[in-house]
Amino acid sequence: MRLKLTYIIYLVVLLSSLKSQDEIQKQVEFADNLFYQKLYYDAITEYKRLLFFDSTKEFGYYANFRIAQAYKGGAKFDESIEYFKKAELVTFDEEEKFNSKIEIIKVNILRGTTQRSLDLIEEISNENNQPEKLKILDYWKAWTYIFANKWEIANQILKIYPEYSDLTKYCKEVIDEKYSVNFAKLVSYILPGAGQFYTGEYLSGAMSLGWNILFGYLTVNSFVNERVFDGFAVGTLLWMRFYRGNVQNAERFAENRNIEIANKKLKYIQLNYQGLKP
Amino acid sequence: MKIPKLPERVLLKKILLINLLFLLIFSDLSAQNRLFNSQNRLNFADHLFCEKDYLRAFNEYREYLKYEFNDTVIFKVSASLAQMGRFTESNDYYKTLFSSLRLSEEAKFEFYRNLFLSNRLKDFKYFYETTSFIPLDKDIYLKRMLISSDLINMNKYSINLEDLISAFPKRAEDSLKTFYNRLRFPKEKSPLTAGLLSTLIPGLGKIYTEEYGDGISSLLLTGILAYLAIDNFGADHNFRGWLFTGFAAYFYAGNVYGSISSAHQFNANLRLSLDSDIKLFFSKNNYFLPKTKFVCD
Repeated sequence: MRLKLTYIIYLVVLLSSLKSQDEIQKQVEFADNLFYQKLYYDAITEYKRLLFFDSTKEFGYYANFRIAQAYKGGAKFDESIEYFKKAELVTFDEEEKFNSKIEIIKVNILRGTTQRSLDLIEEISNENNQPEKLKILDYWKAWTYIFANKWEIANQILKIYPEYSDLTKYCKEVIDEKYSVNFAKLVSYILPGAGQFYTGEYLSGAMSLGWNILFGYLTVNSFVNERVFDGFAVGTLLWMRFYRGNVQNAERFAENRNIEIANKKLKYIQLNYQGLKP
Repeated sequence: MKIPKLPERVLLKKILLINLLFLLIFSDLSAQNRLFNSQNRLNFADHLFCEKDYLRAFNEYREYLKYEFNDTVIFKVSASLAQMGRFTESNDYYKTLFSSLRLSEEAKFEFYRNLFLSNRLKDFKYFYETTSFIPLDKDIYLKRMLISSDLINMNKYSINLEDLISAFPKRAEDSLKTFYNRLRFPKEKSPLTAGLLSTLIPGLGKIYTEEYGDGISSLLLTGILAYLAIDNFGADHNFRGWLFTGFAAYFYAGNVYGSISSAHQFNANLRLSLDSDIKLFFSKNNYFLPKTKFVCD
């Protein structure tokens, strides 16, 4: 009789424990369902509920990771990083820790905190010497530089990996399309307005040339008439102002054009590139 | 026909088995619902509230209130809304607690705090003067809010220095006196004087508004350009004469306009700096007030 009673109690305890796990499992499915429907606000609430009621902490990493992803999906980058960090801290699995760190790097890339992203990559590179992981880190380092508009460095990093040839190709295209800022400045020093012509700003180039001819003539004319003070005043106040302005203008135009080219390509890559993206 | 009677033990066993089966089937259907029952929802909401995830806490509390009445929860709903800056909605909830036995005084105080934080000074004064809403033990804090509202909003004619000092702790006296003096007797610059001074001597208006570098540059540039214009006309170089006259006139007019604008800028900076110092002092309007009940650290 006593044995039977013990057996029944055991059965009840076992079943209630199974039930408890079952409700947690159902909560995971419910939260996942919301997440896959991109209902991020509700998904975060349900993952937080899961974390709160998951007494065994079985889903600690999973729920925190998903919350972080949902925050990232809603462009809440600070909160996203906070939860990726939590995910990193609650797991003992090295692979999961590494994945969380990579996700933190990706969020830093997206929110434009380039230096933080590079520092994290450096930190993880020092901890890992496995070639596969170093390759992954190099890949995200290249993405960091792409988002920081440093396509040349990204290209240098990517070109040693044949499997990233698509991304390398995009980097090369941007480098080839970009205007040379130094060349724009140099030609503007030699012939005012030439830098603007080089960057396709023809009206601005013509006006720059006109002002420089006018005030150059007035300056020279003053010196020819032996009115040195006049020549000095016109030369410094007017001619030099327009000459220097012409060079700065050429530099600014070239830089703006380069930003336009880079942004256009970045948008194209984000929409069309098939590989991993931040 | 007679139904044979089952032995009592067998019957008991069967009932137990059926009960167990029923319990298992029923609990299976409601497995997930248990996480959403009232008590668990409340526990989860409290957890979110302490995590400062006020929007989610607010939603959970609201769900809870659909099935249960609890004045503490209503208070927390109001506090959540206030923490999110949704002061009007928060006050709507606080109002329902004015007749509560336990939380009436706290709710009334939070009602005033919300009016203060949302900068509804007129409403604050109106309700303060009607006295029916005033929480008995918190009058000192209400006075602080009222007076600091005037200071924060720079209503210099509404503030009485003695009232201001008496409402706050002794340690705040010096700072409050300084703020009062800066507000009541600001060392402003007159735009008219600045303009007139620059009309008489280019750059003098700028020096008056304490922009010494700009003042000296204006004087030198306008002087040189005027000299060059006169000298060129004298030497019969009319084109350059007119060119320099144009530049001199441009700089002269710019200097007068710049001086007037500089005086306006000076006064605006004075007000901005006072505003930012006062706000910093009151740490976003809440420094001398007690912490809202139930809000976690």
